[in-house]
Amino acid sequence: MTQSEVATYNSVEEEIAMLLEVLRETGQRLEELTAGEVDTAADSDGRVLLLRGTREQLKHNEVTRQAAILNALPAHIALLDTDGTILSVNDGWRLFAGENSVYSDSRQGLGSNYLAVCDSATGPGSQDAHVAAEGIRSVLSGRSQSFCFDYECNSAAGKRWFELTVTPLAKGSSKGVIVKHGNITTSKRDQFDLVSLAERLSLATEIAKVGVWEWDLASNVLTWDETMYAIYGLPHGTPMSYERWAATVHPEDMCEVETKLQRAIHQRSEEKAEFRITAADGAIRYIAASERAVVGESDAVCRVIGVNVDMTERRHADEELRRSQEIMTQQAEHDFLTGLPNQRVMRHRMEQAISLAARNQKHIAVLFLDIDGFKHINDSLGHLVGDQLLQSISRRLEEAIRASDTLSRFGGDEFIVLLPEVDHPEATTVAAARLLEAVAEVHVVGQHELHVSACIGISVYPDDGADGETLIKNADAAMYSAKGSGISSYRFFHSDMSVRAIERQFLEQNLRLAMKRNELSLHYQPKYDLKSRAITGVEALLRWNHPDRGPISPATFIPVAEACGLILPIGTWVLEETCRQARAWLDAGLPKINLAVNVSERQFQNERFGEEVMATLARFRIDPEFLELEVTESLLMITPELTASLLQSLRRKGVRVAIDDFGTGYSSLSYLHRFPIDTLKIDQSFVRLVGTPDGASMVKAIVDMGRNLGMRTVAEGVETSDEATILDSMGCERAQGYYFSRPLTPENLAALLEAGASLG
Amino acid sequence: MNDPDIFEFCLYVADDTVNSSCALANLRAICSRYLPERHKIELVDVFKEPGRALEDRIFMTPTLVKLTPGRVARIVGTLSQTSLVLEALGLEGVAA
Repeated sequence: MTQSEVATYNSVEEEIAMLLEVLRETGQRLEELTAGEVDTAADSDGRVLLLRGTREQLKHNEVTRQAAILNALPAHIALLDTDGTILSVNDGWRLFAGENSVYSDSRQGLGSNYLAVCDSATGPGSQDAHVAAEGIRSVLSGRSQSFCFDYECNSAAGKRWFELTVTPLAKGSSKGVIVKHGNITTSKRDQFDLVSLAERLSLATEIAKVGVWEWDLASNVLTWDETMYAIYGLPHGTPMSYERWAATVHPEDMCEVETKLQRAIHQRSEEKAEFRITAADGAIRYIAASERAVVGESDAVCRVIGVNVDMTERRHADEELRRSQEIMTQQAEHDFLTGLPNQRVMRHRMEQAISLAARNQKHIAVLFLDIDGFKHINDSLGHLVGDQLLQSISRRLEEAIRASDTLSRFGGDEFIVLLPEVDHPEATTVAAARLLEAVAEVHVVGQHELHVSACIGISVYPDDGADGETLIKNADAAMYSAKGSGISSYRFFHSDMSVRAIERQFLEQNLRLAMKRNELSLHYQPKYDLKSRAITGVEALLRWNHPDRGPISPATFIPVAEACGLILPIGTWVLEETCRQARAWLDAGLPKINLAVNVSERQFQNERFGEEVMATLARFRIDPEFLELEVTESLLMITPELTASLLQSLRRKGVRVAIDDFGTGYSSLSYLHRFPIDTLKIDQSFVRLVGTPDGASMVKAIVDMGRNLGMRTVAEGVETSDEATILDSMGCERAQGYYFSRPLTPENLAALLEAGASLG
Repeated sequence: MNDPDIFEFCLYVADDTVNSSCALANLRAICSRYLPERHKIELVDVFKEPGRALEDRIFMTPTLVKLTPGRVARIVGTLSQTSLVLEALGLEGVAA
């Protein structure tokens, strides 16, 4: 440097110093002028001058803003100098370092060397720390523009994933780096989920034997998964094209399969198809497929993806199931012995026929057929023969019905035929006759030639029932009625049949119980002497008090008791009970009275009846003279000789006989003298007419006849004083009826006897 | 169309420097107290729009310009002396 240069330099230096002084003073003056209230001032060209302090303030503001942005980020960010020393960190870094005690001091690593921290890492995760340090060094040295790396971090909070990013502080310079740790756990987890989802899907399709294929239209390459190759029996990886695949498809199915595939492409629809293929081993396999077109970027179909499921085994299983179901259905709907439809089927068809007939206002007929004497065949020839006979009958009946009719075995030897459409009653009779003929033809069973007959009861919808149950029940009732009229006959149902049958059954069953449950009792109706109006005796009258239905009239239940034979024990009971009661009255000191007991014809058919009567009288020490048996005219007429001798023998022993309801039967007067009759009981229907001229003459005739034959006459059902007076005037000796007394309980009668009461 | 009752202001500031921020805060306080619902404030940052400041002949910040009503008025400073500001705006009567 020369002297002059130094001098120049000095003068420049001085000049600069001077100008700076002017500037300082100017700034100060400006501050003073504006009282510090102005931030900037500009010159007339618009150049903005900053006043003192303002510049620093703006810079500070900028730094504060940037720090706020950095602190708002969730990532952990640090600024490292060229040595790797941490110069600055954001709040995220501070928080993380604090929580995880990464650094021993309280400054969260500020001033410490990050590279040294990473280098010295040991234990789990140290490998990652070393990689991070290497990455940071490469950016610091300028070898790399940036560095990025994911690492796993296990902490108390669970497994987390971070992304480390290292970028230079300034482009192309080595002034330091920014280190950023971003938490990417969520996205990493999603990524894992996606991977495992794909794995699971692949596993699922493998287990479900679902083959997945993809057909690229441009290259005609078929991409198959392992299951596809397994289904088609081809080695995994065999190159596939549409043509190679098509060659495996059964020719008959190809047309439909191709149509569906084309539709999937052109209509972009999801298509399903079922077809057969010939696998590599030559076996036929059943495939269920579905496919869908995939649209590319240019909105054109670029490929088709789809699935194949091997249905072969399922199809075999389905067929097996269907076959066994058919057998089960057959068994469920048919009678095992005859192979005919069973009751269930019959009821179903009946329902159908009824609803159809109801709509079309037509009739249907139900024929109930029962083989006559089948039990006898079964018992004498054995069940095997019986079963074979039923099979033979079934075949005959099947041949005898029309195709539209339904024949079913109802159980045992009973069959039901449903005629679903009947135009005339004659059509039904023709059908019934044809069925009877079919049964009547000789059946060859083993070495036996069997002749059997049947009876048929017929019910018609809607006349005889609105539902199958009722129609069957009524046809059954009609069948029983037909049985009564002889073998090999048919009969239409009549409304009386069922009501009577049901009532009869009810009475019969309950009458048996009535004996056991002591529901039967005796009431006693006094008989009076019309002249003296004194009690001469009583008639024992049977009473039945049913627990549910209350009192049931003897007129209702006696015919049933007679029909089913229960009248015998009941009759015996009545006689015994009457004698027992009489004994009790006698023992109680009451006067002797006549006892009238009704006897039914069934009792008279019992040869030992006479002996039993005498035994009972003896048992209760009752004088036979005081017992009067009341019989009906019809009883006398059935077997006159037998009855006469029985009555004679009883009469000889002192027992009296009265004819009940005299005048209502068809007795021949000429027979009367043949029986040892003591009393004629004039039926109440004559007594009712005694006030009329005709009635009076009839009653008079009976009374006179009785007197002439040496018989006493007793009027029944006397209800008025006038009737009593007239009867007395006609010579009738005794009377009973409501005018005198209703039937009384034993206690009430005893009271009456005790009082020695006499009317009038 | 300018409503004769509306006070239109233009405040020239230099970023968020101390005096500029202070002036804006004071102006807002005065407006809300004395001119509720009757004012409009336009903010001009001379760093962002240096041309605008030059056009409007603004050489210092903060500067408040009252455009209407009445004559245009200019006030330089932080607007911290409220009575003076009101006087300059012709609002001294309302400052009870």
